[in-house]
Amino acid sequence: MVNDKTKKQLLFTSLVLAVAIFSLGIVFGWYLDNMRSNDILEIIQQNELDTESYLVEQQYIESFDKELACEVLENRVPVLNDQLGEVGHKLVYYKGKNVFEKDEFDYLQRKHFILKVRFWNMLSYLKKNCDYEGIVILYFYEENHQESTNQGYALDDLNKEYNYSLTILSFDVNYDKEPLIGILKDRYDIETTPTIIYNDKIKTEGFVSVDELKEILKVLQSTSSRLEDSDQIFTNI
Amino acid sequence: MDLAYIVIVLTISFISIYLSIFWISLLYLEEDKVKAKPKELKYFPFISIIIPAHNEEQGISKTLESVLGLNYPRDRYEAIVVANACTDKTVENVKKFEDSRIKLVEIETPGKGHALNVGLKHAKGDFIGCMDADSFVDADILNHMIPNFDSPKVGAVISGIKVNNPKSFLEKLQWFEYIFVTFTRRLLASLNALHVTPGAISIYRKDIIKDLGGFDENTITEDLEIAMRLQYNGYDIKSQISGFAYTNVPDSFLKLHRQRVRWYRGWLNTVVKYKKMVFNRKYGFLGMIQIPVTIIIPLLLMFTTLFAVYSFFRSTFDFLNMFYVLKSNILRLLFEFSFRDAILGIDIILFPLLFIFICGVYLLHKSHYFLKERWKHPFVIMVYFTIYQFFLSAYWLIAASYEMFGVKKKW
Repeated sequence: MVNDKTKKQLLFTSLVLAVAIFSLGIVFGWYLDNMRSNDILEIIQQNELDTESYLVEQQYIESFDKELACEVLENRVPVLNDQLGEVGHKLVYYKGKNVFEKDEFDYLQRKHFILKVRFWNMLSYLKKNCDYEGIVILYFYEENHQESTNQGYALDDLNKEYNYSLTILSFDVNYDKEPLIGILKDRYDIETTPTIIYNDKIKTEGFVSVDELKEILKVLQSTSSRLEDSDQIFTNI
Repeated sequence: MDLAYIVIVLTISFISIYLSIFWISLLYLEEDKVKAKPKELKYFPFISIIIPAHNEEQGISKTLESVLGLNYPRDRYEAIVVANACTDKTVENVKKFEDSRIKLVEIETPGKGHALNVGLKHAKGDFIGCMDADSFVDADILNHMIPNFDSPKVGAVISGIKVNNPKSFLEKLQWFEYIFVTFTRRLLASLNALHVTPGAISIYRKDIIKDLGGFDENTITEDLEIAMRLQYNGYDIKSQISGFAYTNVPDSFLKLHRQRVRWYRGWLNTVVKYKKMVFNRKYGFLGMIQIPVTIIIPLLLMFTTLFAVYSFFRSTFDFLNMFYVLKSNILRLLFEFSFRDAILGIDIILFPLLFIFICGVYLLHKSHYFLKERWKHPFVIMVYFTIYQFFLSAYWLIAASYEMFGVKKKW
């Protein structure tokens, strides 16, 4: 049998080793958290820079050639769209995994929210002033809600089908850290989830399958996509 | 993540990592002793093997055959079959053995503890072996076990136990469980922290058992009670894993449920009876760690298996749901796999789980090595580490709730 002295040594050595391995795990976890945050932050920073560049471009070109301004600005949309889409996916993917950088993660989520609204404003400007024909989808969802999850899958798939040319801006209706969500909910009269607004023209409530989404887009593409006034009446499906 | 959740997960992780390292360090320290062959006996003490039998007509013959075939001087041991309240052909089957080494005692009073005490009264030996009537042993088992009584402080010696001829999936699960448990008991014995002297076969010093008042007749798990009583009174319990007893195990979940609930209820009763030992430094590793761990581990197992099973079903459900939503388009997802995203998506809880899993696999490997068994039934091993643990934890919780609500005990 192991004597008392050896037992104590064994318990102590195991404790030291456990602390060392546990600490390594913590450090690695923290490192991963940091990598995740940086991964998102890099894209957000790039997106901010591109957006600012876009706004400067807009101001400058508008002063002498409005048509050229529209062409240049429209070319910017896919890049900004891709960036925001990527950040959105990463935020969903990493959610719940960030343990040590929670504040940072919350900050990134808020930043992403604001950037989405700013991007939406830019698109509204383009639609109003440049006959922008791209499809803009506002998707209102709830977390931990099966129908919303399914709708997310369907919209993702739809976007792939359209070679990522759609602009899908998703908003968590329960996101309480940014008052802007209240304004959006009021504007579109959001009462249930999932709710989708297509080009400010059509509104659907409840789950819409990929095939149904395609049908709606066909309808949209066959009609003018010009953005109407802000008090526009939606077609509910 | 909530702070409370993080604290719970980190605490459980730390305790699990600590215990895993402890076991591996102990194995490293004790490996030579575990491997060592037993000393050769120069003197063969007289041993009385008590076999309590209650309606064991099916197993008793094989048990007695193995006892009569022991590689031990035939005039130095006896087998005392205590047939208690038998209504089947147990007695007739015992009488068929016309061998002076076998004594048959018939009693009307049921109860294993009582039967063992009757056997104790009839025992001539300095050592008594207690053996289940549905078990059988290796021929050399006494030669392996007796040398462990190398000090007057050693009150009992236990042997390795293997499952006899496992056929069904459930029996194979238990075969695997017994391999692992036998090995961990050998390690626990190094710390004098054994809390059970299993009924399949255990050998005791007769005078110590008599001094302690014999076996408890009011418990449903006399093998746990006597082990704890020995420990409580300062005696050592040793383990050897070079000889084996083979036992039959429950072949249905209902039987397993009955057996495990009985074991766990018995253990809870025993812990209550010897509560002074819990967190008592006088009882060393057994009091400070092993007893509390036997109470807490099932809860931890419940928590972790529930988490793992939930995660598995959740992922499966998500995938099926995605398949339902996207139909054939789901194939597109397969081409989007990114190694970097997979790394960044790792959940921190996976690290302790992975570490514990690796330690567990290592200990399993060692248990197979020391028990001279080959790795087999990989699917059984997977189920053992996942769903089976959940069942055991559930039985534990059922046992605890039965105790709490005073449900009548059954054998």
